[in-house]
Amino acid sequence: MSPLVLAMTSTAAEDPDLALVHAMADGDVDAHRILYERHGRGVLAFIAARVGDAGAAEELLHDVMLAAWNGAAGFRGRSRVKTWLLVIAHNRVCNELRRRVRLDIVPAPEAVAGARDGVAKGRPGALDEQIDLAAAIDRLPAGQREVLDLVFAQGLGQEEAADVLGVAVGTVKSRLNRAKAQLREHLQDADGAHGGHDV
Amino acid sequence: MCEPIREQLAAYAAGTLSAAAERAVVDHLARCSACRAEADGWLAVAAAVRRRAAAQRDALPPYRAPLPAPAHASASPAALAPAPAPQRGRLAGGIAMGGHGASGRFDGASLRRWLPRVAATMALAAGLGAIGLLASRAPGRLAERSDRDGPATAPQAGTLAAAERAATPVQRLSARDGTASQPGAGGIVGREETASTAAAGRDANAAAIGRTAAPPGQDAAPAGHIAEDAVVPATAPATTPTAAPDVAPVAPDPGAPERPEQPERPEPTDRARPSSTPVIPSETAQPPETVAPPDNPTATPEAQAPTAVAPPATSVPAIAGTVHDGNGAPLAGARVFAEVASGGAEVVAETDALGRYAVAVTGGSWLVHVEAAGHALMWRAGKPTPLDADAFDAAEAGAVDFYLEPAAAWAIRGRVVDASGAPVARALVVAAPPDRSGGGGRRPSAAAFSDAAGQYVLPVPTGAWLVATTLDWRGGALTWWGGDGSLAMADTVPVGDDSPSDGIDLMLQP
Repeated sequence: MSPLVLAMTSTAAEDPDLALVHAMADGDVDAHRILYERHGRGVLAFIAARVGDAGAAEELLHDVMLAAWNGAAGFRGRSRVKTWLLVIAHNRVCNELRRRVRLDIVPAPEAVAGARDGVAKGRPGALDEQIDLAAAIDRLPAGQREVLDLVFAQGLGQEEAADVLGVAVGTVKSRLNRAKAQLREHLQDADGAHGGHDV
Repeated sequence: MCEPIREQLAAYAAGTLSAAAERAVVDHLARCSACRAEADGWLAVAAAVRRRAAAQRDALPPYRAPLPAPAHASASPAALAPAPAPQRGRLAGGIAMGGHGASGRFDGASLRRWLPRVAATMALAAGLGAIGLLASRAPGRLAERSDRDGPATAPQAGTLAAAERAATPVQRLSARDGTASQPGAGGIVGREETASTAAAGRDANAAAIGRTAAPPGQDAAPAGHIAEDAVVPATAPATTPTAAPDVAPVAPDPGAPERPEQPERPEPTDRARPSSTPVIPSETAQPPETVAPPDNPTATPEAQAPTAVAPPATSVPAIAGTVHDGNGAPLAGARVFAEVASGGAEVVAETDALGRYAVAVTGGSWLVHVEAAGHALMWRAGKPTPLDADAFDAAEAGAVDFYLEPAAAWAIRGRVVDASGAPVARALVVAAPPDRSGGGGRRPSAAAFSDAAGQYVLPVPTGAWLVATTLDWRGGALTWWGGDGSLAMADTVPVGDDSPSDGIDLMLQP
């Protein structure tokens, strides 16, 4: 394989968002909007999975993007921009959850139901099993769920996930493995269901 | 032996392994069924987590600008109109905005001092401001758009202009690659022609590999759509794997990296013209409804009407990567199909001499697979059939690379017909090992599509195979060959030296 091809297939080296952050530091609002369009959904999903209700998630997303705007000049490129956004989001979520505990607010139940509906809409095939697995994921400890989300939904590397959560990589690995162990019985259901799909 | 692989399976399912590491895992999984089962578990978890996140991710609230509203309100269409270079369009607008913002902008310290107050008023102001902003900017953006398209389309008339626009995003990519790698290198040519020739050659190629092509208009339209909406800011930075950072010009000064592109433009344009002229019909100018992914409601023709108030909500630029053959060498001329995961729009691209491809897409969840002569069909992450392929968000994916497997030496051939005996095109035909009891063993391991005459060619290794077909593999039931169509009563098809495996005709259940 030629070095050129190798260079092109290595994704980690360059972060296409870095230029956006530099432009934001120079006051380019459009760069900010592009960053928002590119990562808003992902960050929103990450937040919504934790705070539960859409309104609060939306507010927090806005906070995160505002913080990114204000912090753009200080961004040193030590992590990917996306990881940086998720670090900010994680901290905002933690603050929000602490605030709720103080104020005794619980997440609206319809948020969770809404997520289920979304799952149900996802693929009509093996509905019950998907809902089953989704429900099993809901029941996981928050820490494990968070890691699953960062690694699989956000596509972060395990080191990056560790950075976002402020834990060791080993912790990320062990949470992943524990989560999978807990989901095992539902996985077998899902496997059976997959066989069912074949039938 | 297995342990180092096991440790990587979570990252494998996440799709975050390096290409080399992923290949090592795939190689190992091909040999080790225990690890394969483990990997399947991780993939199932990954898919469930992604579905769960996808359910929460779709409702992106409208963009709220970070500065107090007045700073934007002053950015009138007039301020945006002079955007000079066609390619710079929206980006140039961005710079104009940036300049504007800078003049009335707070420095960091005062911004921070003002923030509590600003933040308090933002909740109110941003809502109103956003509306005002959209209202004031939408015409500006349209002006830029026509600005941008003007030079490209000016020398041409009617349908050609549309075709031209449809071919634009890929050309831009390639032009950029040209500066990034080796200007004028042969590899670039394939890429430039991708949008047009893919549509052109598709019918012919599709027949060759047994697959019905959608009308070319369907292919070309999404690309054109992107070209009008989102190409400039989005493609440049987000086609990560192919664009080197110094030429990914979103940033502060797009003029420098962008300008060298202009002298080159006429050339690819000329080259693309002959092939695109006869092929792409005039309908390409009007994106068909199927083009807009369901979760991107603003990506509709209305959004581009002069009176539109809403901006394009998401602009995902491209799914891009490299396709490799069975030896790991870049594969030219492979066709990459990207389709909206929930069904509908499909976009196709062809790999260039360096195996690279880029498909312009809109936001949302996509499935991607590769078809190449002499190779088995492959969906993303090494899946041989779409039944266990994972959809992914184009915005979240990095390079989507493929390492194809050579097609198996034998093939099962036949036709897919409906209950009345009429041929069915685009039916998925799969082959599964005959072990009906084992969990993973039952999973189909080869796939093909029927062509317009309903005929399919399904490469499989020698052995006995269960064969099934379905028109709706997104959850539809499979109809198995032999018996009554159920798996329980399905017959196996022996494949080998003295077993002709032709004439395996499948009748789709209504």
